Amino acid sequence: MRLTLRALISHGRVARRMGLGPESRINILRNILTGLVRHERLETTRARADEVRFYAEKMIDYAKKGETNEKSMKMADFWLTEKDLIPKLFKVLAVRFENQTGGYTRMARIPNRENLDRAAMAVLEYKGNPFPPLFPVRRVRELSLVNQLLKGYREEKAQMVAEKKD
Amino acid sequence: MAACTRRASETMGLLRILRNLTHNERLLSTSVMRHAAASDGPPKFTPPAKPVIIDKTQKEASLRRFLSPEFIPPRQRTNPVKFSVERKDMIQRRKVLNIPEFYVGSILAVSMSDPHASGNLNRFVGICTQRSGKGLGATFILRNVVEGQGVEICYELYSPRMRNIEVLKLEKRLDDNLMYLRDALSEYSTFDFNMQPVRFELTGDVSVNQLKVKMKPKPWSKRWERPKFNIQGIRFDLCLTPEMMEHAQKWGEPWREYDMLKEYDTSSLEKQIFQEVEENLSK
Amino acid sequence: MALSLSGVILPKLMQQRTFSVSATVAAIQKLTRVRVVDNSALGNAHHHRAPKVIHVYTKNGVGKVGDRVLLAIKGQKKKALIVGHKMPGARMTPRFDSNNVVLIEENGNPTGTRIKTPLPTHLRKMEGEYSKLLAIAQRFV
Repeated sequence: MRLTLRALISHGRVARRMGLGPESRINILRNILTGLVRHERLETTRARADEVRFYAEKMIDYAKKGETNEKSMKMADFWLTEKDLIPKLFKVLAVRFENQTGGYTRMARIPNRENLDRAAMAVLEYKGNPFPPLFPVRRVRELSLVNQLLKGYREEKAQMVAEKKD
Repeated sequence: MAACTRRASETMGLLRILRNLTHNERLLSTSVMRHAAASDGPPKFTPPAKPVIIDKTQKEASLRRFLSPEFIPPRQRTNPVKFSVERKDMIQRRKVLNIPEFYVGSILAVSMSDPHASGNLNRFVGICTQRSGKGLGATFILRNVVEGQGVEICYELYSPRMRNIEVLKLEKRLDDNLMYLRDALSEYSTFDFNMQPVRFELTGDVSVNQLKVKMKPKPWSKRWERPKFNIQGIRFDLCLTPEMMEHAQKWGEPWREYDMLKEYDTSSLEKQIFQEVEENLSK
Repeated sequence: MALSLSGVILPKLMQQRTFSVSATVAAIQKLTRVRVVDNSALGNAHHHRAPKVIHVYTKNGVGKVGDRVLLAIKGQKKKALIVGHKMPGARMTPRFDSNNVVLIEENGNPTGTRIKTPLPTHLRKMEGEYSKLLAIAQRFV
């Protein structure tokens, strides 16, 4: 006897449930995708960023097929609600990722939102964007005091080892 | 006397050899006759070899490339080893039993072994309404109306009980799933058991039968007018009003065709599997 | 136009309530209307009500091919044997478009003299009890 409805078992379901239903979910993701194409870096909740990531990468794959491809144009027309972004998608983003096969986006997690809901947030961006990097690159500063002292210590030790050998 | 018999035995030996070389018969018939009259009656007539017709007008490249849909693995989180092992078993079975190319909408005659049927063989003729399942559990449903009673049998393609699958008429229909024939008038599902096979070509595309079927009055087993079934092969104008068609469109989900998550692109997989199957079948 | 319920995600409480606790029943059970396929007078006589099953003689109340049932026809009770149902069964066995039934006596002898509609071949394994019924059958599928 089945104790659970088929609807309650979600084995192998890849799409998260968002908003009011499937149509609402697609509309939400569409808006986020449009914003991402416009601004190339976006801050949303973690679940939404994760969902949009898939669609963003597939959008670039379609854009790479070319402007003349009918399916690509239909997809772009549907997914980008602001129509002035369609040329940007085909002429800027597709060209930028010409030599890559995948991995056009980067997602970084952020501390929870300050509101009452304390939602888990994330930043989603297309690689190659003009903003400063999300994960700052740590450069080792040769001239800091600690590093200079350590360098001196290493040199002295090397000198002592060389003297011992003699 | 001894020389005579020796010559006779030599010529008998020669005769036997010459009989095997069929194209030489005409040349040596007179001599054969003279010596054979001494030993046995007129020589046994062996017909000449049938000429082998090699059709050089059709090149191999123009032959239709068909990969049976059960070879294409579904989109799942299973190990691809499972699919390759299953494919090996399927090819092994195909070497024994010839599973021809057929589509939903073609008329097939299937014989399976049945301990309870006369002569242990059970033959059924019907139109293929659905092909489902992947791998060794692939099935297809044949439908026919026998003595006014609609009968559907779901056959497993790779079951050891299958003895013979014959395509009587190869054609496609406007849909991939003809389950609506249950609610259509029975004339569209009746096929004679002693139907003669219709010749079909091995090159070019399969003909699509543009038949649009007339339905019995509603209620149907499923609401076939709804866009999720996407049925092209029913004459809706005869059984539904335009208001009902509009009402059905409310269940249409126009975003579904743009949803990239639902797409499953199998073209590269298909090519690879087709090559694998071709080379293994010919071994 | 109200939003169809399928789009709305039910709150968790309602989700817990939406499954049936009774066993899944299918094929032929009590109160199914059946079609009598032999040529007996009782089966073919027209009545304002279709013949209905009032009892199924199995451990669970589900009748498959080869099970006995009790029918209510023309105001009287009669035993019958199921010879085909609409529910899909085992692979390689036929599925009929109507629930077919053959009228039977207490000892297993059929009431009619001919069965024109096709019968499934796996019925033949009950040679012992229903051999007379299989003898009057004209077609096997």
